[in-house]
Amino acid sequence: MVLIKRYRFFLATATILLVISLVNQEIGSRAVGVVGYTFREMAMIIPPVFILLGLLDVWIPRETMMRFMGEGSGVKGMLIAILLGSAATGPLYAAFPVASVFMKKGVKFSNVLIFIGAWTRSKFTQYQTTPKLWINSQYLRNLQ
Amino acid sequence: MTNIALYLATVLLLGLSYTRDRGKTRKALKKALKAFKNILPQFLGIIVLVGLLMAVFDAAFISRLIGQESGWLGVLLSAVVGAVTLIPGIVAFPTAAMLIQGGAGYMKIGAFVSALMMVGVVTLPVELEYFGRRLSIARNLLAFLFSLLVAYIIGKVCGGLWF
Repeated sequence: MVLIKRYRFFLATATILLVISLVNQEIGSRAVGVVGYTFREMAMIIPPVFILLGLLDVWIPRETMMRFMGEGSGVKGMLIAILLGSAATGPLYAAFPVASVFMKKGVKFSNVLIFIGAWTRSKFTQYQTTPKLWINSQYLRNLQ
Repeated sequence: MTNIALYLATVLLLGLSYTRDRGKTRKALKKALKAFKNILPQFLGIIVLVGLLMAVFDAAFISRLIGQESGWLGVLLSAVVGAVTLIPGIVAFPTAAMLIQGGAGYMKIGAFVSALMMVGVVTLPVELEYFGRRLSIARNLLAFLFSLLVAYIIGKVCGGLWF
């Protein structure tokens, strides 16, 4: 029962997917394709992120985090937050667990928000994919 | 590429941790597993929701939506479309390029990409889990408004005289 309650959101969406697939096979199969892609992406990113967070939780004492990014860390704390957020890879949902560990470790609240902002906004790790993107856009142009 | 770096760092640090203190390493892994288990139901739900949304909101549909309205209404609509969709950057940027080639204004694309990256209506269940209701809603709302600001600035910078 508890299991059903915990997974009710997933069960609801899965049911909708099933119904839509029965009504319209084309949309259904497209949706399944996207689900497969997203699942692979998450399966790639989530494990290392959570392991790194576990290590951080165990090894880095609260005092250290507070000294670098806590109250009174000033500009240094902000810069660290921006750097960490920009260097990180992955979609927004991967940032939430990191942010919650930060909050637990006494990182200043505004620095947590700066971190999230940098994560979503400045992505210097993604510039590496530019050549591929360019090819993609060429491909898309040819499709039109 | 970035995935390789991420995995390399994880394996390296995990190995280092293991040689220093096995007990602590085991504890770290246990914490990781527990955190993962806690959020897994939400993640699974979101994956399916994203699949459903993307099956409907494909590139063609998005460009039709964004291309239709002009002016501030178009910008607003683009931001809304960006807010409710969740598309990986690697697909989103080519889509944006396609839209620009198709004649959509820079302001709209700015609003779309910005809201796409910062506002997460679909991922709200996960965000609520970590941040709570007040913060999640405030963050998304502010991010949405910020997207409009970005759109304005991008329109001014890239658009030049026509606006």
